Amino acid sequence: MGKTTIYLVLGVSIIVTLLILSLNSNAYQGLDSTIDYYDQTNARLIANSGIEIYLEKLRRNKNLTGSFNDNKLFSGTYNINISGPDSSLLVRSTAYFSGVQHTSIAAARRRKMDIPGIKSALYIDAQTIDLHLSGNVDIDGNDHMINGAPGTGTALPGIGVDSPADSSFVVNDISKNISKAIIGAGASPSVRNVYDNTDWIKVTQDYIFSADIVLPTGTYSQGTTFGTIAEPKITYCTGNVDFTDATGAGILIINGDMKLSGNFNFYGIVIAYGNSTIRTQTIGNNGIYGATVLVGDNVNIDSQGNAKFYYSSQAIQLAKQNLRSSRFEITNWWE
Amino acid sequence: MNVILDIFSSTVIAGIVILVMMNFKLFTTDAKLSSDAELQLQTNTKTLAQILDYDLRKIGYNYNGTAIITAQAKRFSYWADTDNNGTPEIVTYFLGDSTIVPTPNPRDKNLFRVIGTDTTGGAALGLVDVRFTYRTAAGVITSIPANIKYIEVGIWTQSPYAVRKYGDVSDYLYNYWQLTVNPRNL
Repeated sequence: MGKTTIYLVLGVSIIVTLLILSLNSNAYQGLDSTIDYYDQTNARLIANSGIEIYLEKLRRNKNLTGSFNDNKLFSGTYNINISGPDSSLLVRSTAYFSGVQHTSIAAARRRKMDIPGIKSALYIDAQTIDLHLSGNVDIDGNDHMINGAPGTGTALPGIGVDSPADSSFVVNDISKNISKAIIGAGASPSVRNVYDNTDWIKVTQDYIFSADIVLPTGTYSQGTTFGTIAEPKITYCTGNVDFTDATGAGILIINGDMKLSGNFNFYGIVIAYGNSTIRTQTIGNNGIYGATVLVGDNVNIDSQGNAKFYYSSQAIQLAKQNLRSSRFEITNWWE
Repeated sequence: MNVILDIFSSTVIAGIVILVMMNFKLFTTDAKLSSDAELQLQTNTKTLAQILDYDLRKIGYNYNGTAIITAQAKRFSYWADTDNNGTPEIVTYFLGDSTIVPTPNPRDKNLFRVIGTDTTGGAALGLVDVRFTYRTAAGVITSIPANIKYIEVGIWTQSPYAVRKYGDVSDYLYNYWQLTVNPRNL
């Protein structure tokens, strides 16, 4: 009887154990099914984030290309491959999370640099205008080619301002000799209200974000090039810079004092930003072909030497055409 | 006399034990069936959600223009290059008829997934209803294809077989899954 009871109890126990194991197995499978979906979602999100991260890096490093493997993110990893020209970039991201793999692909193209319409050879949008023009300063709103020859574009004012008061201030402040050297649309001195609605501060900040070259305080002498006509650059000067016999093309942003001496030539747009001064020295011939914009709280031109501020639609067009922005347009996204 | 009494008592006790075990066996069988059906339902629902999630995220891939063609509650049609071969195809989802699904459940239907000219695609997987809802970037419900930025899909599924739930009452297990997709190409 005792043995029978033991067998009976053991038998029932085994049956109950098997049943519980079987039910638990279903519960585990149900849980696995949910976790599997979670893993797939995580792998997809990691792959997508990988693309976003590398698009951000591409904004900073415009020449970034190739494979970048084993990047860690959210307890997973992702591999990136960047290929193609600016007009059809392909960023492929393969992510791994808990044994699940997911591939996302983004096709993108780098946007052209957006340059607002230029309305004068020298545009002043500053809270405080303080021009000290002496020496041989030429501010010419007539269109020029980049070689200095006359262009075919419509002539713009030599100096453009936003209000009649500013216009009067500029006209009254400059000497007669300099006054004759401000030419362009209309009679000399060619100083006009241009009513430019462009938010130049915002535009400048956008350019700073896309800067190819960041120059700290220093002297940049002969042989220094900040972009060429074929491959212009966005150059951002964060301090006081002294350019001697340097050249450049594209967009030059100055946040400090820029001293020009020797033969400095720049093709494109020069923006004096914040509290900045453009100083031209008596030595050499300095020229800006394109346009110059003074924007900020206190921006000045202190010219004592030979300086040319020439409007050049060709220089601006070339900059627009060849500059590489830091903005992308996603044309297709696979995930 | 004592022996007869022992035999009788043990027979009664054995009978009771056998009855309990039989009842227990029936219970365990029901529990297993119910559990299996629940697991199958859950897996089926997840599979449907995965198919939709995979497809809907590709709406407009490699297609220029308004990718969505038809935006109805039970029918959804759009352009997408689902096989990434460089050529977009028209993908259409619509709910089929319950009569063509060979299961005891009279309500389950096929969710047809037609890509290009292929009309054979379709998954039943216990689906009894599906509802597409379309939203703008601001989350407002819309049916204008050009304004659609989000697609919300509600999936109702049932088990293919009725499962005893309580007492002698049997019914189909049911499940609901909702997913919202923001296709990047829209």
